[in-house]
Amino acid sequence: MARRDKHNGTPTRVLWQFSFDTDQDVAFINQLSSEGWKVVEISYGMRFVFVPCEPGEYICQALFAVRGAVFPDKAKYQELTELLVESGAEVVPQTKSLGSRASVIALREASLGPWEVNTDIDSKLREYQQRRNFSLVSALVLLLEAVICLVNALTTTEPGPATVVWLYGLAAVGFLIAGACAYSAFTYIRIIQRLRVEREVREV
Amino acid sequence: MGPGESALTEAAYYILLSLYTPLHGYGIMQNVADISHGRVDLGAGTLYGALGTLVKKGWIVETDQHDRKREYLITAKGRAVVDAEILRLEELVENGHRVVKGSLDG
Repeated sequence: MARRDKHNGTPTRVLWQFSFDTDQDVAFINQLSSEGWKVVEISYGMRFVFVPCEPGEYICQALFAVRGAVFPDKAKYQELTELLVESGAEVVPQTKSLGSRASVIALREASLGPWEVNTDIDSKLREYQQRRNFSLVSALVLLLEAVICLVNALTTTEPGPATVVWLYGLAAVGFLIAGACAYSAFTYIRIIQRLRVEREVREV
Repeated sequence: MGPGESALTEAAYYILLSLYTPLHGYGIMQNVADISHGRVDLGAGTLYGALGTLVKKGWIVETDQHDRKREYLITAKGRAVVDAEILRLEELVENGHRVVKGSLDG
């Protein structure tokens, strides 16, 4: 769908992409870039706003900025943002999302050459370990929430059927999202294993 | 770096070399590119992680902030690590040349 919005009157394209895998978000943005659409805003973690650009004009990369597995690291976010901007990139604004400061999504013009934010195996490993921990903790928290809702739905009779339906609904959503987070975590675990093998091969 | 410790990564080596004068993050990226004649291009994530590790090891320190940007400087411990690494690299090159040249002469 295309409509006009606040981006200087430029026609925009709004697309929804629901993913718990940052790599999938990056691939999605790069795919749209190759088709001539530049991402200018991400809200709710899944609503992507694009404006027209030259096909393949931008390269997208992402970095995680969390501490203690789940807490957005404000200082790291700030420092990474400054480094990225100084090296010619622009950071995509992320709004209305709890995780909006947990990852930095940035674009750089492809004309500046190939671009990677993690240029060695150690930093790639650190990046994926952070993502794995974030996904695992999220999955566990959501699983706990879903189990509590399910147990309450099965045992509560007092509030009436509407509440029970709500509880079943919340449990179902919790299980669904926990499953998606766990799937992302296992994807990251596989990437970490591959990177470790790659590092060992290089050290031989 | 002591006996038994592994060699420096290329990123760590060049970052340490860059910090004989105080520099902030992007300055380090540029300096590393200059020193390596453009071959080593440090990504923001790589630099951020490496700086954290080097500070933790006591090989570099944060100096006063300049224009709200953190600057870093190599420590005496860091200089000793660089000296040891240069000796190690020289030995590698010398041994390599000796064997390769010997095989050509022989």
